Amino acid sequence: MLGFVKGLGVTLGQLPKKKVTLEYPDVQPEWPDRFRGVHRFIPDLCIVCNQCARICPTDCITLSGSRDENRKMHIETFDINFEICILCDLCVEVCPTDAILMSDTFELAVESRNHLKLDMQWLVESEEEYEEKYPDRAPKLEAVDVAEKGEG
Amino acid sequence: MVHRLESALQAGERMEEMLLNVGPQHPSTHGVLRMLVRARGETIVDAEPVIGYLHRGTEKLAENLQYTQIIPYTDRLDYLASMLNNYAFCHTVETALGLEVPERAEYLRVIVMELQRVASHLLFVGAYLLDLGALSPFLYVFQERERIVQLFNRICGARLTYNYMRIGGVKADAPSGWLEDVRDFLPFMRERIEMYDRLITGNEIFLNRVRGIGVFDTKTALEYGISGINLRSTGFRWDLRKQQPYSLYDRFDFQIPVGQHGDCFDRYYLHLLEMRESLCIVEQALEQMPKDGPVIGKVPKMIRVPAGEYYTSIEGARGEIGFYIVADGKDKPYRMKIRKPSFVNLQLIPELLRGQSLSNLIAILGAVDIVLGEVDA
Amino acid sequence: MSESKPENQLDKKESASKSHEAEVEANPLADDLVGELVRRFGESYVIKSGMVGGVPSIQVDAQQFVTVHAYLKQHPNWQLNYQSCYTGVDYGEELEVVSYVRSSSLLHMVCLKTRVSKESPRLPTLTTVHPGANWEEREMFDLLGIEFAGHPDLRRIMLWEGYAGHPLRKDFVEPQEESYGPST
Repeated sequence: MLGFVKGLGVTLGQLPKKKVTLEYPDVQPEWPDRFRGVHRFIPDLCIVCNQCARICPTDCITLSGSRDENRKMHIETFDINFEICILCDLCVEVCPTDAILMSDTFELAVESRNHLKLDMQWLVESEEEYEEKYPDRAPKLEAVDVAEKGEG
Repeated sequence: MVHRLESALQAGERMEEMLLNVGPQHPSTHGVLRMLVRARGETIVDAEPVIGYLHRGTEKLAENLQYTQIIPYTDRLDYLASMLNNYAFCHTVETALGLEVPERAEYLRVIVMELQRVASHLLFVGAYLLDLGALSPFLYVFQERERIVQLFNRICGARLTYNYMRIGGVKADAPSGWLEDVRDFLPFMRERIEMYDRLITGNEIFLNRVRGIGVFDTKTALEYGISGINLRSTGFRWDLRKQQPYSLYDRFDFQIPVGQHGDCFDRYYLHLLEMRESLCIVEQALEQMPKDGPVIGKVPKMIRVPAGEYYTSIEGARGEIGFYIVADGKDKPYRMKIRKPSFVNLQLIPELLRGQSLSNLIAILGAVDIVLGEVDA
Repeated sequence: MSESKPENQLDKKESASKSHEAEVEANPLADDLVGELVRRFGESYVIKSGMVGGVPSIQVDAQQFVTVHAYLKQHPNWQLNYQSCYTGVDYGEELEVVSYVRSSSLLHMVCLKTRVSKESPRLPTLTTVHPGANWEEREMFDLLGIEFAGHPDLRRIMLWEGYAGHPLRKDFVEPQEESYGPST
């Protein structure tokens, strides 16, 4: 019987404690800067090296680009199929210019499967939203120089 | 339906044996395990686990993936202890390559692995008590688990599928303030373990349900290849961290708690005791850890494992996790086999259930502590 | 990237094991193991021996696979009573069955292997020696198509009855999307 009473004491001790839960849809959780949500993309930095598409374990990235008059590669399409993306972060890790990054968007419920095929426009909007939300985490401008060097 | 049974009753028919189907959609089977139980009255005559509902063919998938690409897939085996799976795989590849891992990376790995063990054991305690009908511990454990998960979220950016380890090191160094927060977490966690001890261990209702239930001895356990807490509950001191030290475990001072009776209570209590030891290891690792240094070794960009066969195993949260890799010198394994502790441990269930009362079914199944993601791979 | 050719793989393995032979001399455990088995069963028992990833390994004939396990399990110098890893590998014409057994008291680990042909992949079950081999054998039966004579319950374990083919074989072709799902 003693054990039972002891246990009851613990339960009663919990009563006056502060709540630890978050009222989620009204209160948004705060994510650390390394958080791996849906991708965001900065087209100006991309050098179309295709490394992200090659490292992707599920082959969910498809991209294409072309060479302009200065023999510089420009990204044209960049699609991520979120039906199969596992948010593993390997594409972000291999990107030499940090053109592909991850945002803090984690709400992925959609009405149709087609909405999970994210194109470049969506990803750029995601980047803009992120920059607005975290102005201090904006990409550093030096990265652009790296991109030009990396291209040569 | 009623009509048919009624006529059977009038004809004097009596059902001597009953075939009971538990799962695959059952809250107490911890995933998608299906159990077929043949019972005579209240007594279980025979039981058969049916698995494969979550089979994703990880071993086959790995044959078409580069070594780095396999790491996220290992997250999804035992999804309650992803860090340990990550390490088991990286460890095998590093052994094959003869790679040296920087010390700071290895310490970071030990810290996250032991925190992961605590998180996994916590969830066992909560879920097991929930199986037995106690709702509060399940809600309590998520408080501490949340803190561990938040720590992981800060270091690797994910809450469940971490993908934190890399061949030759870890993905990123700890962010500023992270190590201090881990240190702050330890006394809090110790206090909470004391609290669970008070709340659960002495409870008479709980003791009546788990004492002397699901007993097996060391000989049976070894024959069945049982590992982890299930083996240690029989009183056999077997922990790969001690018996076959890998990583930095020979530098830490910790105990391997063992049980006495091999029953469900021992298995529950060992989880609590092991959490304390894990916290001890984390504390020592924080002290010994070099202040700075690289977190990833000199690894070629394209990892090619020299031809040969490699098997290494580590002590996971549920037992011996091993990876057997046959390499042919390419960037992808020729064959990868995962030694899954849950899969092997689950085989013992029919033996344990035979002759038991039906009401003990969930108590025994829960104590063996399986994760279906790992059983089915 | 060329596709992996089983024939090349075999050659490579052969040469790899030859180059390891020098290591065998240096490793007393591996030497002892071969010596032990040759003393007990005769020269013909051990087909191949060497070191596999730092673990002494011997290959025996499929029919003697169980005998060797049983003998080493009760032998006082070996006491290989705990099976760590038990699996099969497809090497083109042959299927290899690999069993890592360790001793819970002496702490050493040994790799025992055997090979069966792909046309009639049959060998006696190991469940009589290590009951825990039961499900691993079912998995091998399911995914590699190896039959274990005398197994108490040889059925598919991961995939459903009636599934065509054995996915872990190298010549397995993935079925078309339409044919997925258990047959009703």
